[in-house]
Amino acid sequence: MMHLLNCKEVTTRLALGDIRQYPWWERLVIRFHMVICDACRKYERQLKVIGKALGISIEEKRRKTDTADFQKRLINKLDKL
Amino acid sequence: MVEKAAINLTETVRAYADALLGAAWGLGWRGTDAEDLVQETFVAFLQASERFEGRSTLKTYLFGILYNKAREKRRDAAREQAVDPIDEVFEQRFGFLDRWRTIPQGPEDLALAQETAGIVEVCMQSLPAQQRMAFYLKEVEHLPTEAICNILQVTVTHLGVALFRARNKLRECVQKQWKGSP
Repeated sequence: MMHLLNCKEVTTRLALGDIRQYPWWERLVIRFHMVICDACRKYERQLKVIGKALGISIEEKRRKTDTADFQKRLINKLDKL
Repeated sequence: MVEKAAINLTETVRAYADALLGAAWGLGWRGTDAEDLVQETFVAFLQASERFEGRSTLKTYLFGILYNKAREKRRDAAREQAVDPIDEVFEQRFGFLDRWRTIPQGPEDLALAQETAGIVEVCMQSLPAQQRMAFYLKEVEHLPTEAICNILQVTVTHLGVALFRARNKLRECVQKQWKGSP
């Protein structure tokens, strides 16, 4: 049944992410809550920034690593097994 | 039954070594430690490649081996604990009518992700392997839920708990580290 969700309920769903399949009316209630609630909106945006930031930190490592050389060394070692 | 393709070592390494190295970094392994972990993953795969039955993709299968190797070597707890301190921290964030006590602070503009990268990397260190790997596979590899459950050998409910805790721990940590946060 459709009922309004409070901040804690909305935030919990945001932290769980899309792995739970919520019914359409609940998704609608979550979206509606986000329009009127500054705190939950900020929370959701922060989670997005954090996810993207992790990707950037991995990309930076990749840039600093000679991955072609790593692959070559790896193949050499594995070939000797 | 899916027909097993003969394993071409060079091709397999070329196709998956980078992704596996990324996962090793995501789990907090550095430099040659990370490279060794990837190497051991391939060794284990070559020794038991006949066990790969094509029920998952090869990439998923390799991620699973890497994750198990990493946990073996650092003796990380296999399962999500029943109680995690973050659950209480989360509860404390809400007051009357389960509303936020104070508005969450910290970076909220995607343009700030670059600046946040270093902080997130440090904050990741406080997460157990399962939460790290779950968060990494979700946010960086963008794998579907089913594949992540397969790699971590957990149910969807367990994965939800791991992601919930990972996200809240990271957010709390980033809020603390973010410049000018109260």
